Amino acid sequence: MAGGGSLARSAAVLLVIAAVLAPGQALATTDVRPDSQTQPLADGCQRNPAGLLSFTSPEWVYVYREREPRVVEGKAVSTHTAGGDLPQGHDWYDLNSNIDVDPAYAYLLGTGNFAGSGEETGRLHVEWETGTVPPFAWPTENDGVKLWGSWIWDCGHWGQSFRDPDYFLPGSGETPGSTNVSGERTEFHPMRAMVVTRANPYEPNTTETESDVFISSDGTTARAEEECALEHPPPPGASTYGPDYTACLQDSSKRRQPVNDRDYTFFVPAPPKPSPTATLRWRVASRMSGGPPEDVQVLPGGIRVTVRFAGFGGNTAPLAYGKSFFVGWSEDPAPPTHLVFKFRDLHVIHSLDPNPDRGTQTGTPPGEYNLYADVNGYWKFLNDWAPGLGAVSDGQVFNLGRKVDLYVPQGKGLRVFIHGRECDLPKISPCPNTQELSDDNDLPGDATASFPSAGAALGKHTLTAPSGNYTLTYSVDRAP
Amino acid sequence: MRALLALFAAAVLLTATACGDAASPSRTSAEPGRGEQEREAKERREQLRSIPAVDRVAYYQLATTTGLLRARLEPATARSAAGRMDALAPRDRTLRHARDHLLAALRGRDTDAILAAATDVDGELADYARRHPAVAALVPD
Repeated sequence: MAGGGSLARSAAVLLVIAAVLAPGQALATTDVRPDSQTQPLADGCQRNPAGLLSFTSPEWVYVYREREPRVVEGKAVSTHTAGGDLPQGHDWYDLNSNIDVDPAYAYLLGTGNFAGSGEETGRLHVEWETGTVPPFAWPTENDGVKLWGSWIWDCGHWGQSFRDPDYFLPGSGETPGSTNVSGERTEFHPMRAMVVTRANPYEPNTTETESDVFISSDGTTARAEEECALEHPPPPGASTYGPDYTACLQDSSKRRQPVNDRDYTFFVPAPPKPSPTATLRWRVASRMSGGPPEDVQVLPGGIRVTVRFAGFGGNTAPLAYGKSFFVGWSEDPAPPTHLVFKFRDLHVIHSLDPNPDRGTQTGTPPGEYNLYADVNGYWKFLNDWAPGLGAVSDGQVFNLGRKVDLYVPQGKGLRVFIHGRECDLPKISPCPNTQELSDDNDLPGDATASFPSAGAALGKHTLTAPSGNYTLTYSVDRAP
Repeated sequence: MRALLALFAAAVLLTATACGDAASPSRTSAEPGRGEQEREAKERREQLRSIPAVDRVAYYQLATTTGLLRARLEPATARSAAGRMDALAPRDRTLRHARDHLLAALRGRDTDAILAAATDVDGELADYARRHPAVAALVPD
């Protein structure tokens, strides 16, 4: 037995050495759905609210303590930027999406992912900071995705409902025998590679499939927290991590993720073939400079792309890749409808500073709005067009006066989605570094308009947020 | 044994993971999932009402400020932190003591003393959280 124990210890040491010395090597992974009630605690979550806020307990840890990135394929829904995030753990607010995963990846969802009835329920939530991910790669409703990312526990949330007393203090015995505490959810956070195949591409002026690809070594603070939690576990029995963990977080190299340890392969399907004689065509558009080359293999129903990242670049310099691939046919009997979408006026009804509904903030005027628009996957931070949103008063109207060309594929419609935040927390971009005192940002609320076809969208419209905080006036016209 | 370990190490390293002008109001909605998120945010605010507003803000600001100081202790961070601490007016005695302790250290501008005070404040915040578990709802998504 002693020999066996020694062997087991040696094996464990070798595993750790292999993980530390050869992070580029693919390691064995545990492809089993984790139990959200017990596994997060074994992996390093501490269910310590004060520690989470004060940077002494990690907000994210690797599932099964395995840093090896995972892959998921599925469909993206409910994509938006974060309303609030922890200031010390973010330079930029996160881009959040939720993935209906393909069956082969069902194991990635912890048991806690099925609790509740929100946008994350039954899905894999994914996050990456908006300052890292360029808008061309932001998914929108029902886009197909293939993502590589850190498979982690969201240590900040471990309950089912805020109405459940156990949410606030699981295991405290407040509700003896309760099985309502669902535990933490699994996520991908950060991602390292995204392939977004548009369900309703707005850019191609002929019938084409579009896949937008973004890969980056910028793991943000999330990556650093995960690495430091793995390398510097808390002392046994402690409710917070030690000073070695905090010191580790100061090391900016911990934010870097080794994207050049592998190639990235994905398939871009062609749209339905219009006739037996049509031949497949493809093209590529560069979205940013730098990055490795890619190989493209033409197959009967699309193209297989491999981004040759393995061994590309150094081990310290930032690395990134951004391109879009378009696949179509030599014939196009039913091309997309060309529309001109005009952003007209944005009327801020309530600036939310002060906010009479929330007494937990100083709410010093003016309000600091951040608003984002998503029109069929065309994402825009509206403050870029109306900087005055960052210091807004009740009743203020901004003339946006911007036009966007949109192509709507036959049989598809138009969706307009507006959302954002009113900044009351310090530090996180693109909010100003406000000195206000608050326990969270305010939410101006979402507004969505959906039209079943390009024709149904024509005309001038006023989109009012159900919250009553703002309206957007826009018009949709056929292009001349 | 050495050969066995070498074999195991090789196996570990080789195991790959395949692994129009008259504006018409258009239909507006909050999509189902997002509506649920807003409902949860409302529930969260309701739960937090059990804590006086001044204490809720003080708890959040004290905790996140110690976090910011740990993440990036620079003169600008410390100045900004002192400004926020100065504006807090917690009713709870523990929070008031924590705030005074951290503010004094920030005004002293000694890095070690600031970090030591931040550690002390952590303990006081943990004590407060045990008495007021609803503060768990202050951790954003």
